[in-house]
Amino acid sequence: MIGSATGNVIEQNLVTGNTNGIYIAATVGQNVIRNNTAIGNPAIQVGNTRPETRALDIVNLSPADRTVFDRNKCLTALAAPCPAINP
Amino acid sequence: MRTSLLATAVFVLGAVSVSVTTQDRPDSVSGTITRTFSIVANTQLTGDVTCAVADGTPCFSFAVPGVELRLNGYTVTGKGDPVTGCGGAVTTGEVGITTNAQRGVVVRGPGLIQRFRNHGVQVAASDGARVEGITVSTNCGSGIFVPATSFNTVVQENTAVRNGSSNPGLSCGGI
Repeated sequence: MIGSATGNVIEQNLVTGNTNGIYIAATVGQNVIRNNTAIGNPAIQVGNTRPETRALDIVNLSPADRTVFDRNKCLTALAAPCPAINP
Repeated sequence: MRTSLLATAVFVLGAVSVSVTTQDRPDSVSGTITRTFSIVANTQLTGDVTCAVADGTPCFSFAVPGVELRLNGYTVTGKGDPVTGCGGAVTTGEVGITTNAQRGVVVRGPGLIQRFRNHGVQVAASDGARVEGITVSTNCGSGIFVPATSFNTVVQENTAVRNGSSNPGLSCGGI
């Protein structure tokens, strides 16, 4: 989770079963999110029993083009690319 | 009288110039911690750590720049309930490790940070901090939290599992 910070790099992390996976708040600086695997956020049990949580693998609330996303693996996201994942 | 005033001035100046300096000798820690452990040197865990610090205070806090906390494969456990977690609530300030505005500090795994009633690791107002190779699990805030006041942080090769609150609207989670 990043607030209005700059120059931070989040890379090669495995993020699963959390309320949100990777959460980027309304960032004003340039940050890089790359090569992370964020899948199963929230856990299916939470998603089924608490649908109001509305959580995702990647949530990006920063202004367009401020956060760089590169080669992350995810299934659900807001304003971040989730490339197709083959079984 | 003049001598007394001079002595008082020297005493006061000496008191205000006291600051935390980096300790030359490495530190090690294990067991139960009842007060926040201030990191003043390169520090390593030599066993699991249970944090029984006061409510709302961090377990580990960096006090000097440019030093490293090495978890060495051990576990740091907070006061969160192992079954129910925090019931959706977080406890302000009760984090596992805070960088505490220190520049260039490192939290290095492997190792597990779990069951804190706020964030597992909080990169707070630091420049150039690194969090590498750790596992953060079942913390009630974010596993690793990089707030608005931190710059040039590297969060790399960590595993974040089951962190965050189930309360709607709380902006927290793995990272």
